[in-house]
Amino acid sequence: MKEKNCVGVSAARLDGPDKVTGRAVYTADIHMEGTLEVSLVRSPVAHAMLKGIRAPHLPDGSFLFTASDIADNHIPSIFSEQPVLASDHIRYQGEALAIVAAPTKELADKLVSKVELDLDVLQTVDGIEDALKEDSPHLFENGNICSTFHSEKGDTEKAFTECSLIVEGSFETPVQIHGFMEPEAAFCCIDDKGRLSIVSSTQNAYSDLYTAATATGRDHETITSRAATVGGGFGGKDGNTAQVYPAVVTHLTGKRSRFIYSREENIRWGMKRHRSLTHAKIGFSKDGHILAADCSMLLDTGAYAMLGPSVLRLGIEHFTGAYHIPNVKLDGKLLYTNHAPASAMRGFGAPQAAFAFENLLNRAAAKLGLDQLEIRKINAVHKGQKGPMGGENEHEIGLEEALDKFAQSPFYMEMKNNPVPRYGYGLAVGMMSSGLGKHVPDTCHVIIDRTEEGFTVRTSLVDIGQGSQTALAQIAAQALGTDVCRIDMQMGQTDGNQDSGSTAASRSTFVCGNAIIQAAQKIKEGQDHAEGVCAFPEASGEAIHTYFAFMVQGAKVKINPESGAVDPVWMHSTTETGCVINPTLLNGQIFGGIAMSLGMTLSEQIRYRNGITLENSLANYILPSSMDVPRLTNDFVEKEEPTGPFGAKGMAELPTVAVAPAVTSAVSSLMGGLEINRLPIDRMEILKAGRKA
Amino acid sequence: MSYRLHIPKTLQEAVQIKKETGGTYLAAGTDILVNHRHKDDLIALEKIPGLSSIEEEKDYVRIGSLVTFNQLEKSSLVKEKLPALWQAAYNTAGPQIRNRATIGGNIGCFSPASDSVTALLALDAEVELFDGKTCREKLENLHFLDNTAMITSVLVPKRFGFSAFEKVGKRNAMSVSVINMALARNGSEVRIATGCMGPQVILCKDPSSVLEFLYPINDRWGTIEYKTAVARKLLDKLTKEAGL
Ligand SMILES: Cc1cc2nc3c(=O)[nH]c(=O)nc-3n(C[C@H](O)[C@H](O)[C@H](O)COP(=O)(O)OP(=O)(O)OC[C@H]3O[C@@H](n4cnc5c(N)ncnc54)[C@H](O)[C@@H]3O)c2cc1C
Repeated sequence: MKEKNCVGVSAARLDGPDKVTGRAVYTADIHMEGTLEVSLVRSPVAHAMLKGIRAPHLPDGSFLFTASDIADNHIPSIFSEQPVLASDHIRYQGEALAIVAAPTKELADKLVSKVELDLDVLQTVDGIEDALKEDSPHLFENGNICSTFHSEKGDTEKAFTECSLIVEGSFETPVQIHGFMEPEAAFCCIDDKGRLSIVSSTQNAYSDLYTAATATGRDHETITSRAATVGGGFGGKDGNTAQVYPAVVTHLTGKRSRFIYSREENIRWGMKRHRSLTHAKIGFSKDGHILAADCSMLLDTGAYAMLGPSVLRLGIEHFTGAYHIPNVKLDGKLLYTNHAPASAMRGFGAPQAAFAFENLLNRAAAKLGLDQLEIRKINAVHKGQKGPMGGENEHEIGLEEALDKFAQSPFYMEMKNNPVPRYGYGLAVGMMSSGLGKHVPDTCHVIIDRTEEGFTVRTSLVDIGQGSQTALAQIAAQALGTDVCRIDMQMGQTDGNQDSGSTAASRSTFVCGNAIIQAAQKIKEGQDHAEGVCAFPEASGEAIHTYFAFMVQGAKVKINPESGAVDPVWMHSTTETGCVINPTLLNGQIFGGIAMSLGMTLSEQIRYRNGITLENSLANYILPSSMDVPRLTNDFVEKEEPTGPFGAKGMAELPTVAVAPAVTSAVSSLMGGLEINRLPIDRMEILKAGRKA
Repeated sequence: MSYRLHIPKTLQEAVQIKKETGGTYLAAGTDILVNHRHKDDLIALEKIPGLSSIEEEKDYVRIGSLVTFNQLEKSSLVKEKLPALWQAAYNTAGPQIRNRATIGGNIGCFSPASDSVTALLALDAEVELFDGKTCREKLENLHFLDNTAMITSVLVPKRFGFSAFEKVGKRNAMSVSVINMALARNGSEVRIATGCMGPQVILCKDPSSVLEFLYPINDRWGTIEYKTAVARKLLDKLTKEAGL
């Protein structure tokens, strides 16, 4: 093994000083003379035909644009069926119908309120249940099924007949928002080369460039795009949010413009985590081996697909979790509804699946007289075994080691002995892939230049707040044989770079880290300027992803007897994500992901009534506060992944997967086996169960 | 959002501006500025002297209307003599809001979810009002503030040997009450106040009939079934603690 000094240590965050002193420049911090403020004319209803838009009198210097002003009226994505501005069929409340730009935000809003709409209102498809009804209206010609996914391995039907225990259940998880601190925002101007310049809060500068090119009809060369400092993304800034609207305004007027979502716009019309309805049936042998699983998942993708089809595929692929199961049947449907589009959110379908599967596994353990850790050890997947879709697991898997380490933890000792009866304990395992998946271009380009001070490392990938620039600088320093302080990371812009894709799918450290190592090698061989390219390795057999990280998640909870509120007291985890580049950053990701998922477990949800959200502010969309986050501890096992940068695998999404089932299992252990199948946990269910007990 | 801001230096001046402009009193603004609940004229109270202290009198604790939740939380007098009010202050919002938000503003909101009001009603508080001259009114008789009256201080009796406050929100801080309840007891005198279970905080002097007077609605915070179940449990808890 190489001698390490820059990696495997908790280097301080490079972005830390600027952020804590307020020097960091976020998109909304960009103030420039003569900037037009953008507001959108949004649909007041969830489903309608648009017959006409009547603009009010526009004072000098104010503008209004509709679909007819857009060069090619669609937003490039998987299906690209979403228009920039709806021109006939309106599919969700809040959908953009026209863009207003004015010298002040007040004036822009006032002009928006004076726009008259002529609408033929249609019946609302208000969720998965409606979308499946025979007589529901169709959002698209082909109906309300956006995509489906099916996979079968072995013979599940036959295998179930040979099982000595079968557990089964139906589960539901809510729409969740990303809850990033910085709302969606974009600023546009024409730069000194006459190019349309986009600065935004984004996970992917290139995708903003392509979207703007489509909407304005400009050539790619006449557009430049970069990320400002980004205050969180979590998937919610992967694709178009605010960017395209000021891009259109600046293109058509030649003036600077900017669009910053209000918190209400963010909550109501920002991207979402898909609400899910899942069903799973799992069959076991007498000694606890899983022989067969039949799992299905329905997801509400809202009015447009965005990344929904990929979310469905990943959710389904991860449904049976971290286990080796010979017979697996998987089914999924992604449904169009008159809700704001759901797209990527940290975990990407896996948390919805794990909520069902991990809960059922614990119920089976209780029936089989097995410990929750034991049943997982019996079934833990190993390298070389076949995954749920039949493809071989080709890379390192340290799940068993993680389970063993967890078994040695003070948390698990306490769970086994359970000294205080008012506490409940539960555990679950999360598995999360990294990389965009088969057939999706997944390449990262890096350029390293030698400078007087050290080295610059450039890539179009964005650090969206997770700390990748620090981890990547550590990798660069290690590979170049220098110190982190001599590395100048320049990330997140199209200029001078090639398209390296999105900061998504837990891919940055792996794919960019490898590209850096490649370029660094050339520098060490004497070049002053070197490029590195890494394509994320694809799965060779029947599988979508081929790299997985694992996490054993324990939860200790108590229950407030008066309110039925679940109060998490301690969450302990053991993670396996290859070699760790920066332990503090890793824990930051883990702890943040746990807090985020406690939100979905206990309090966060968006509820639609006739296509309109009940939640519209952070006073009623209940994110956990610092007072709601329990004691968090994490340790890790380091199993070197030979193809990863200094042995690392990706892990940013991992901590979102197993939190909910760990917590519900802990509650269940306190409440005489109460089966919680719906999130967020309903306190009334707890009070009722308490009354019976 | 635009408005005229007046900054009077005396009570008289404030009342005068109020009469002339029909404006709205502004304490910390954590309610009115957030909820845009004001008219064109705002009359800031912060420069008026004498409204920010907590003082012990013979039968009362006198709390100036500009006293913040943070001051209440830090006051050992409040903690010892008026535990229900202390608990209400402690459970209000988060540190940032508590540093600014005032007790006068909390009463002035007239919200069924004003946490301190629930405690103050149970403790049989009185308010001192000023509209040119000073008058005193029991909080339980004060169902709305008349057009010009300003709250200058709150007088909380010290006679209750026992008092306690309970709040259930959707999270552990920065949370609107789904329901709150306070109980104060002085021998056979018992006062129970419940918030969020009707259009105002509801006072009841008989523990056995509290639940009859509550009329919760189904809303985003919970169902009637849930709120009623919690009310029953909070009442059980508080009466038990009070030795009833
Ligand atoms: C994030 C957040 C969390 C919150 N959490 C809670 C909570 O947990 N519990 C809770 O009870 N409240 C909560 N609130 C509401 C608010 O903070 C409190 O009601 C606070 O006490 C209001 O005080 P203020 O000084 O800011 O009042 P202001 O907003 O200045 O005024 C409120 C009202 O009272 C009137 N008023 C103010 N002072 C006087 C006076 N001296 N005489 C007559 N009228 C007056 C004003 O005209 C106005 O109508 C929260 C608010 C926010 C923004």
